[in-house]
Amino acid sequence: MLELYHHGSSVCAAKVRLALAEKGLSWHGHYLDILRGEQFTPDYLKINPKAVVPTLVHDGKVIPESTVICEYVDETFADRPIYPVSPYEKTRVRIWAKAVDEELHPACSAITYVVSHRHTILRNGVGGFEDFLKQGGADGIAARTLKWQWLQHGLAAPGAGDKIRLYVSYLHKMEDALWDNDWLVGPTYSMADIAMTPYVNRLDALAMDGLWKNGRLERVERWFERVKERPTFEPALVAWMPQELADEMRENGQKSWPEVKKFLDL
Amino acid sequence: MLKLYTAQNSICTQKVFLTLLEKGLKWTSEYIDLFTNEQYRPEYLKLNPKGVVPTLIHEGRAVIESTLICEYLDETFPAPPLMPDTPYDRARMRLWSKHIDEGVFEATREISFSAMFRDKMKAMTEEQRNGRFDNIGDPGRRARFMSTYRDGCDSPYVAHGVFAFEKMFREMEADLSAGQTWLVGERFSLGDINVMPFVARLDYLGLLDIWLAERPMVRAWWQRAKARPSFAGAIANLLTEEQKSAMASSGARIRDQIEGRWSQLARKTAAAELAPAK
Repeated sequence: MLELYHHGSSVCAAKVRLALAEKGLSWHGHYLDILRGEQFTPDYLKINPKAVVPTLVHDGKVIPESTVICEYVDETFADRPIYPVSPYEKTRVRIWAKAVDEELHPACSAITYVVSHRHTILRNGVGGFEDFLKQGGADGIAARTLKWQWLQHGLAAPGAGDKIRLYVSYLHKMEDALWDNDWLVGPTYSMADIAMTPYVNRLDALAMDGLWKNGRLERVERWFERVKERPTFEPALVAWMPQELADEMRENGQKSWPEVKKFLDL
Repeated sequence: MLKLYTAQNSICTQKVFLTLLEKGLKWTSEYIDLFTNEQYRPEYLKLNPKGVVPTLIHEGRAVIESTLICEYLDETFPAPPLMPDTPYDRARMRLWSKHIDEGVFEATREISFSAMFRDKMKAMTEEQRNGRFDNIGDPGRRARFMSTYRDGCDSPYVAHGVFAFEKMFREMEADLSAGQTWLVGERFSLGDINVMPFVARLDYLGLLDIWLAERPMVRAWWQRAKARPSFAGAIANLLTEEQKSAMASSGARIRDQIEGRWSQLARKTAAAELAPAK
């Protein structure tokens, strides 16, 4: 049995749900509200000491880290592969997945927090920022220091502009990769596209589609249209996003858009 | 034919050297001088857009990212295998790579930089130095670089680095305590290869015992890893005596500060673990 610990607003969890859907696998979910701190319970910390979602449990075997999970799932269930067969093409796909983990993801959480989640965390009344950040083990000290700055200062936090510019540089990389191709690597929707989908969708959810619309990045725009037409998009991504949170993210995103534009000289 | 772009004492290339030697493959190396910014030449950036080493050229195509190069080599030349047989063990192997790529690599850069390259940077002209800073495209990486240049071991990035190693060694000790020979079971794998050059760097800097004093399983693993012929060929024999003694003496200069950072951290971690869980 496949069990997935996940949450509606986590991009990494969305990536795994999308991979499972593309492979046509069914799973049993454990929903943790990460904006209420449910990832810090002692039981969850036992299987995921970093206190992050997602975690996959397959027949009792615990696998953390969304990209590692996706590759595990693809190697375990051969049907409907999401990685190419040739080592060279596989490496090209892995380069996208790795860049998402190492560069785009930190940028994405920064943007989501400075633009929107800071308001949600306050509204949930978890006892103020400090209490929220104090939860969990000692493992995330550095990450939590950073989050503290995002929560306090929003878009004025140090480095926020850099994170937004880095995000946009990935949209440009996509535009280049889509030059003569419908998908990022090879002829089919692969793990490279699966890795990018929740991150482009996040910008869309924050009402930042102006970054690629209006003729700015036409190939990215058409790619995202194709992605949304896939039967996996709605059940894996849209359906899990709580409506209240979706509304709040859109509203906060719209409010922040003028400031974001300033960072980018748009 | 396999060609590898590398640089003197490049820690990420050492992973690839280990892989090539373990698999008995032949290759040619081309050295890039990072101190004269050769990695930012347009011809090289075409192969490696980030301007980093290593880059592997195989059948006329460039393969980048050392972790992915090693997996590529193992998949292209399957014998002897350096990846475990089951998907679950391969996932565990990849978690060790993630430890390196998402924490320990930067940790090593900050600690090595504070120990070794900071003085070299100080000796540069201001123009050379600014050129070096400006060439770093990623603003986050530039900020880290400038912070360790300015503050050395007092930089918060060095503290994060000390912590990244602590987390990795803690997990290594726990896993190896189950009695296995290598990080992912009984077969030497890319998991071990990914970790080795980073442990070697701390060893050459004379700092390794700060983390390993009370970790006998990791110490024993390290003795086994160092005894492999590939370690000599990929790391030890490629370093000159001069490089080795330079690492030892520059490590000695920052030892007290790193040790201070580590014991501060150990106290904090112990306090957090004692705090009642909510």
